[in-house]
Order: sequence, then C-alpha cells, then structure tokens
Amino acid sequence: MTSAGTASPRRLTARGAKTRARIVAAAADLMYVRGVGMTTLDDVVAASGVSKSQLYHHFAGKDALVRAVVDLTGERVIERERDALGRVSTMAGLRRWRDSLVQNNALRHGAYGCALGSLASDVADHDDVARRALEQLFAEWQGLLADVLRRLQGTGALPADAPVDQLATGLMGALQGGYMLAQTARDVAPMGTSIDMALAHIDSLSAR
Amino acid sequence: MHADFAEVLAHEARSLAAVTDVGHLDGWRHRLVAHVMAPQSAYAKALRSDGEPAARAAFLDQWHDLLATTLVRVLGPGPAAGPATDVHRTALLIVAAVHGGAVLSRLTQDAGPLSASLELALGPFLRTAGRGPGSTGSGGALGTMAS
Repeated sequence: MTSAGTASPRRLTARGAKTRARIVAAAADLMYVRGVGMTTLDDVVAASGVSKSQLYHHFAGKDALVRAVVDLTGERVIERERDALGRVSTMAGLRRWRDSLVQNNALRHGAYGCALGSLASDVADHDDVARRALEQLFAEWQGLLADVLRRLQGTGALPADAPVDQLATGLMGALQGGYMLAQTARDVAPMGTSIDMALAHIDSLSAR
Repeated sequence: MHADFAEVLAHEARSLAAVTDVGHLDGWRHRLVAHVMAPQSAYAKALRSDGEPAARAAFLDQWHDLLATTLVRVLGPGPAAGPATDVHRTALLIVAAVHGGAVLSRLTQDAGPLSASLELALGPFLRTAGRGPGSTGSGGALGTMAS
C-alpha cells in the first residue's frame, strides 16, 4: 500500500492514535460529500469533536490532513477492490463486480462519485505529494483489473496477445467517467451503460 | 453556460461536422487528446470544472448528441448490428472515457491513460465501421489494439 507520507509521522500513544484516526475519518467523510475545496479545518474540528489545538498537534495544515485522507481512502478502496476482484476469472465475475459498484452508488443516486476519483479531481493540480500517492493507488487498482484480465487470458476467454494493461486502464477510465456521469445526472444508469460498453468491448476481443 | 463548456462545444461542433469516415474519426480522437492535455485549454478547464450541475448536464448532453450524430454519419447506410455500432451507447462511453481518462492522465501527467480510455471506447466502433460499405477502410491504430 502506498502512502502520501502521513501514515506514521511519529510514535503516538494509543489515545493519540485514536484521536488522529477520528480526525482523519471525519475529514474523509466531509471531503467525500462536500469536496476538498469546500471542507474547512473548522468543519473537521466540529465533525470530529476534537479541539483545534488537537488537530494542529497531528496536522500542520490542510495539505497534511488531505494527504492523510488520501491514505485512508486509498486503503479502504484498495481493500474493497482486492476483495471484489481478487478471485475473479470470468467475464460473468467482472459483470458482478460492475453490478456491485453501480448498486452501491445507486444508494446515493450517484451523488458523490468515486471516493478516490473525487480526491484525484480535487487535488491533482494543487498538491504534488497527494497526486503521486493517488497515482500509485490508481496503479494498484488498475493492476487488480489487469490481473483479472490475465486470468481471463489463462482460461482462453481473452486472446493471449490482448493488451491487458491498456485494457485495464481503459476500463478504469470508463468507470471513473461513469461515476462522473452518474454524479451529474443524479442517476446511475449512464454509469452502468459506460461500464457495460467497456466490458462488451473487452469481451468482443475473444471473438476476433 | 460556463464559457469553457461553450467554447468546447463550438469547437467540437466544427470538428465533428468535418468527420465523415473512420480515418477522420481517428484523427479527431488524436486531436482531442492533444486539446485535453494542454493545461490551459478550454477542454482541460471544462473537464476540471465542477460547474453548475445543470450547465454540466447540458454540456454533456450536447457533446453526446454531437458525437452520436457523427457516429451515424460515419456508419453510413446499411445493416450494422451489435454493441460496437450502437451509436448512442458508444457516444456515452466516449464522453465517459474523455472525463475518466482525463482524471487518470492528470495523475500520471501523461496522455497514456486518456488515449487508452478513448481506444477502448472508440476502437470497436472504428473497426466495425471500417469494414462497412462507403468506408475508407482506415481504422488508424485502433485495429492493432489486440494484435
């Protein structure tokens, strides 16, 4: 797992670690719903129930807090995706992965998008440390998709010469763009269509 | 409407009106990548902008419609069945691929992810349309994706 450099800034007491975790979890929730730009440190203080001095004890400023949010969100997303994709070796399995993402997003009518993708949109141009951490996290996620495609090659469901890394990147592009379409429409239908089309195109390679 | 949205749509309307075959469409795809990767372009700004939800929705709808109209023209007359030639769903995937690919390319600071996203979105259509009647038969680099 990659890190934006804030995972273990210094040795913390159990109580200190708990306080820090509470701050980061509250910040992650706020930034997911409101976006990084619309979340202030005062908002985080209020939502986490800590004092401002406690927040500044753990984080020098907003950039440091955002990097910790990137680490936490990345850990959550990669763990979820490792569970979901780790044993997938069929197109039907990939479609079940698609169904799960779309269904989960439907619970919120697609309102907030992908937690990791939203952070990428918000910080990529403003903080190079966070950008590089997010780049690594997306590489890890795309690697999980590429591993699925390699297993499909192993069973003959995809041609041996299919460019799996490029296809995995394309599939991630369709997924992230699908989240954005759902967010704009407040409806997950276009997200579902986007991933369906990408999967159909990958599946069509087997018939070439 | 957001000025960058309007500028992109005006540019796309002109560019796509000139697309009549798969070779032109392939060229449009490569020019689009260049526009999006130029940090100060209207494309880059429009794709980064949150914008008003209604303005963004109108922008996406209009770009989708321009693309779908273009795909119908490139496909030409005659039977063409299958997912690759469903122009509305293909246009939707292209719009998604531009946005999703742009986010990934901003992270890597490289055009590769955007190109890969557009390749997956557009490649099957170009390969299928490139085999149809009235086509120039040019699928650009797309036909080589899985070879």
